[in-house]
Amino acid sequence: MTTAYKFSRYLVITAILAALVLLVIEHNAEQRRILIVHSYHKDLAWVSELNDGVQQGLANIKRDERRNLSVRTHYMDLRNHPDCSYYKLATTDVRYTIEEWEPDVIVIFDDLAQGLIGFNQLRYDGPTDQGEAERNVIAQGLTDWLKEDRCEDPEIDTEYFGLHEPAEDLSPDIVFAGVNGEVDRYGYESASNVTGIFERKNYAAIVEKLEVLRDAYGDQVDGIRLLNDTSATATAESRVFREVSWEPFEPREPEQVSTFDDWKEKVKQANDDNVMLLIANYQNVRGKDGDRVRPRDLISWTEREAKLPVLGLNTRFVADGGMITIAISGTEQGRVALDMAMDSIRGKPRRPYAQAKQYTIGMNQSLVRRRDLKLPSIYQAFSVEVGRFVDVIEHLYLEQSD
Amino acid sequence: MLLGWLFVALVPLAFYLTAQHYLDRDQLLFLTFASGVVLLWVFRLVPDFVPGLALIILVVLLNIIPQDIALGGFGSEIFFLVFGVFVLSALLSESAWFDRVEAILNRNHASFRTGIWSILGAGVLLTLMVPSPLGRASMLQPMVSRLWQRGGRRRNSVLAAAHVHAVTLMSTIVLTGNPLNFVLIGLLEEQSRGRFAWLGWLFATWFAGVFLCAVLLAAFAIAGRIADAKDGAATRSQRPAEKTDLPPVGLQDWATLGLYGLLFGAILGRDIHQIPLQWVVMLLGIAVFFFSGISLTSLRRKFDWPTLVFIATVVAWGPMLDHLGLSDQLAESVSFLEPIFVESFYHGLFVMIAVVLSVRLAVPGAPAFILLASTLMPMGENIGVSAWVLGFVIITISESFIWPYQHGVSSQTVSELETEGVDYSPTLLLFSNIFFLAMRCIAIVLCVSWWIQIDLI
Repeated sequence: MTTAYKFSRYLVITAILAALVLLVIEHNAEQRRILIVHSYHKDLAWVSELNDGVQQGLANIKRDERRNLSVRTHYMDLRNHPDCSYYKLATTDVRYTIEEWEPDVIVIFDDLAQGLIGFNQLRYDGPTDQGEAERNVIAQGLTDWLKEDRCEDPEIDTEYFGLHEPAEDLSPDIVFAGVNGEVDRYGYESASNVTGIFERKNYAAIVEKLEVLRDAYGDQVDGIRLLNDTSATATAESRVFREVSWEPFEPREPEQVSTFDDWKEKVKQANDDNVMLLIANYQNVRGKDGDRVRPRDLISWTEREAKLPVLGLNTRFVADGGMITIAISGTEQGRVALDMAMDSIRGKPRRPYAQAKQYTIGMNQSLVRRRDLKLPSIYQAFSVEVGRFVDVIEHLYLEQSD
Repeated sequence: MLLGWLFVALVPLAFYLTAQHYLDRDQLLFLTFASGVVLLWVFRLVPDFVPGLALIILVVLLNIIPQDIALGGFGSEIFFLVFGVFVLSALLSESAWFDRVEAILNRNHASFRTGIWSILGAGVLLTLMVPSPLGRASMLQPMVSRLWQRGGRRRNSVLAAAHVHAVTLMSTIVLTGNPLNFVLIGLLEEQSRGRFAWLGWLFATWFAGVFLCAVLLAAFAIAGRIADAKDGAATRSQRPAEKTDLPPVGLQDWATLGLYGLLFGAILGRDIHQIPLQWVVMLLGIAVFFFSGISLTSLRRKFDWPTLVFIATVVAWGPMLDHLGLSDQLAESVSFLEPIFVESFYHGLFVMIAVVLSVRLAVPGAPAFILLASTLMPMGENIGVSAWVLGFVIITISESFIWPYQHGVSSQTVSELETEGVDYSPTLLLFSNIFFLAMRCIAIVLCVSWWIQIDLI
């Protein structure tokens, strides 16, 4: 084999390989990236619903567009580890992914990640000095909120969670979802790269449901009270609870507790006050041993001991042993958030903030019968029809029947 | 041997009978088989990859774990990364570069201390490119063998120690320095793996790397000087320098360097091309075949298929334990460590190092790492420490050794010394092993403040 022949052969092979590598690099350069950041983990039914919504949104994208789209999901798992050092660790992980993967859009689900991740990615178009001062105030507020009950060291400052300065690259757009309260606490209102959908509960529907429950209960109801754990989401919900009109019910001051003993106390107090309880967040209630109480034990106990009907406000409530729940659809949140992210990728103008429209109902008929309530049959039909509630309700019903 | 097989038969059975009331069917069977697998590893009754593969077959056949999870290691990015790296290192071992270094040393009648520096330099450099410490040791062996000296008991001991530690000490500092580093990556949650790809891993370990490298060089500079002074100038080469002609450097040798240059270029240019490391390495591996860089015969001889299969089977352990809900139970079983870590990270670290060293007295490196990492790494979430940090501490300590039987490279070197009838001091070798074990511990302790700074703790 002559040298010239060998050289020519290597030249052809090099050309083929170079062409292939260029093809890959070009394809990668055209890729648009969406990073989905969940505050929680897959073990929550809510997160599965959000993911279902995202998948629905992706399924609606045309094939050519989908080919150039790369979606990566990150679960911060903050609910299972309510601890400052873990928060810091999980935050660093996501920030590393953002820095290294350079997403075009970051979709952020639920409150905690808005504070830990979203806030750092905001672009402000206003005057720098004013923006800086405003930013510092928000960073301090977020730090105070995040460290509440989670940090052993009370002296932790804005630097601890890396909130003291914005990220170096502020090019990604932010889409939020799963936020109950206002987004000004995250600095979103004055930022130029944020849109999203609120998870605010459909309060008109909740009041409607409370009226149905009151009528079915038959006796006097003196008011309603929100009972939650001390999680960040619960604190946000307490704030909204105070602001919303609950006519014709008299709202009592919302309660947040961290231990099961306190929880029991509050349920007994609700019995004494003759008020109906609304419950949304309870995964962070701890027992005497310091471990978190199993949601199933806590809600089953509550359902058993509460004199008046208890209304759940989350997707897991019935699966955890509750009688009836009304919850915002996670699927809608996921789908709308993904649609908004795609708008950003397509270069469309930013949509205004959206409000949740869909809600779902779950019901455990055996517990309804135990309380001897007569609820409209449409509730049962709807509960059976929608998503994952069906299995759980049937399962519970069978379990109770045994 | 028989005793080992008896253990393999009886211990899982005893476990099955005692634990059947506490675990569900799938957990019980998995742990029963896993205990058998660990014993097969401990007693070295079959090649390392066989027990892992047997476990996968059993859990799939008995519907304990879904096939996609059990075989996940074979489709993971880790598998392709290791595959590509092994192809490149097979190519490197075929190249003439080390023959040239050896010939240059011979031709110039290199002094003992020049030989030491060459071994240290080559050992550290190879750590960047060849993922197997044993492979690196074998590649350097001819060079070392030429430097043995008759009557140079101390010099030979220093040479042997330099050989052993040059190829092992830095093995956990770079991702591609040790096959178990890939297993550690595989045991992390998928979303966290990207952070510890080649450059990210080095970013987290550079502090330990600089310290260990400096200690390695300083220790052998001093040891070489002392050995020279004590052994005197009368010693001479045991072997005459028979080969002094420089082997020619061919196109393949340059191409090998070029491929490694491309690899490191691609690692550094990740921000630009955004191609994950495993695919870069695989592309380069494929390029080797396009250019007929390595023959099939050489590939069969040089490519470490058993280690590749071993890694693929072990990478699935984390997801399998998660699937069965055993990760949390394992973390709970060591929950007594959590308050120690929370009170003082250093105290926790010392306890963990002590545990690893105790286990390593009886259990070989790979199974010891897999056992300890599967048990201790999930604890990271509860104490606010990156699972990678815990894994790195475990792997760095479990890769150390005191007695020759504890590490393949050490036992191979001692066996080589014995076979060749080289005069050496086992006490000096033992002392060097203890010294470098202590240095590993110090390196880890020194790293803590760096890890705090980069938010891994």
